[in-house]
Amino acid sequence: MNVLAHITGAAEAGIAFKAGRSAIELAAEVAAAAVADAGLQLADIDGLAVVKGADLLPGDRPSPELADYLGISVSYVDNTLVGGVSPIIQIGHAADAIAAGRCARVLVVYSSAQATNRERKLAGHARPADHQVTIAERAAGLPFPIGPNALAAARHMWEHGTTLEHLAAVAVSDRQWAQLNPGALRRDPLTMADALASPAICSPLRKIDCCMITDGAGAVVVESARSSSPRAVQVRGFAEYHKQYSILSVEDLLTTGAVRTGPAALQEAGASIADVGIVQLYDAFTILPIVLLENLGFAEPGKGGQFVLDGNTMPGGRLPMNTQGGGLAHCHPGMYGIFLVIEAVRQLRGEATGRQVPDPRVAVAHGSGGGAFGGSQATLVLAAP
Amino acid sequence: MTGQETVGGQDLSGLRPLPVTVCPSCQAAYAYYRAVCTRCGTTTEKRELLLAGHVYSAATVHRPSAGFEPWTPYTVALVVCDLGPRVLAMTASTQIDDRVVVGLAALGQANVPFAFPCPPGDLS
Repeated sequence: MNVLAHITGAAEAGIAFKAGRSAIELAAEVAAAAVADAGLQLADIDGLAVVKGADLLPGDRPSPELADYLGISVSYVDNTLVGGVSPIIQIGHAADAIAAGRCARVLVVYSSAQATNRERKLAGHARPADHQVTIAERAAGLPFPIGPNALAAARHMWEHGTTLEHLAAVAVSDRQWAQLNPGALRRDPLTMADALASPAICSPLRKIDCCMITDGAGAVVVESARSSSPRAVQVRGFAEYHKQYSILSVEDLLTTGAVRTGPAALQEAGASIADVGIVQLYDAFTILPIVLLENLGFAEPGKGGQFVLDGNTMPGGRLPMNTQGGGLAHCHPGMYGIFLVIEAVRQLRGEATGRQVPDPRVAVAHGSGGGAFGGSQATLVLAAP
Repeated sequence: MTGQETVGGQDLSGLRPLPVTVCPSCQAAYAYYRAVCTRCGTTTEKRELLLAGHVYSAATVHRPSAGFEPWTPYTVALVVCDLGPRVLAMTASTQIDDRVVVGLAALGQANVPFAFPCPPGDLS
């Protein structure tokens, strides 16, 4: 039984289409809630991980700024920024730092007021006008981040016969879970007919294939493998992999780094695919969890869409996925990684009121980031207390 | 080039070479400028080429990027070029797996990478 660390606290705050508050206010609120959930005081925290970003914490040195705002001093900071997966990677790095004795209790915070700030549009995060990769990527008018996802979806349809119905099934699956979650932002019913009638944005992707643009904050507390709290979720395996940054460097849009991180993290955890009771897979667009289900080994190559359409990921299915509603229906404050982990923690603790999966023992939280589609990947394997 | 394709009623047959980065040692080519060849470490050179390749995937944009409103909806292809680089290019009639040639076409005030069906025997 390999235990790398424990997640002892988890919290969300400010989840709203517009919270009307700044990112650092939401960060402080969610930090306090996560620390309290861990049974700690803010003064107990000696490591801090937070993502820097234009619509996140506004300053250019977010760790000392947030530490100061929280009134804490720390012996470890991490500002890893590789896209939406970043907080998952920060949790993996925190486990290593704790094991190395650099610190004992790391607070991993993500906070964004992008919707309130109106800094995020369909065109994605702003990049400098003279950024040569951006110039090359956008010269033909492909919108980001949806464009690379649409290209992946079109290729999946061409190679494997995936259909619009397969894509829509992911949105329907997420929505069914969201309807069980009072905290989810999109809770109105979504039928397959509704989904298929959704307007095209970047074909083959339609509006219902896209995550929301919301505010929100999430935080977890990572402590040592020796923690004995009855609510401490075990961090059992972690792996990260970074391939291309640009869509212009992708060899194969349908094979992400998840084909490496999934097996590596499960092996470290001493677990197999069959042990996994729930998955939380990044769903910025519906094609992404389809590819991830295949790349991680939960579905046959090319059959991820059918796996979802068959109901496997929906309430009552054999592999519940995105059980809080995912980025399509729960929230999506720019980077969703921390929320994948928070929901896995709640399910493994048996605290997912209204949507609790019966006794899941092992959860996989997998995040995707990088610059285009499938660039930076990380898998976290968690086990019940 | 003899392409007769039009977009928004505009003739795009006059394709011009696309700026690319080429390694003078191993001939690797890159779609955006890199100072050093990732394959052999040689300092690269800038060139202008028409690029032959095939369409890897394509998406049709209904909510345009800024500046592309007049052409909406338009299709953007991800083209894998024979020399190595992948480029994004507007296209009017090509589909996945089609052979194409990519160059710069004047579209309004802008020069836009555009993929035409590859004429038989040309640039292969």
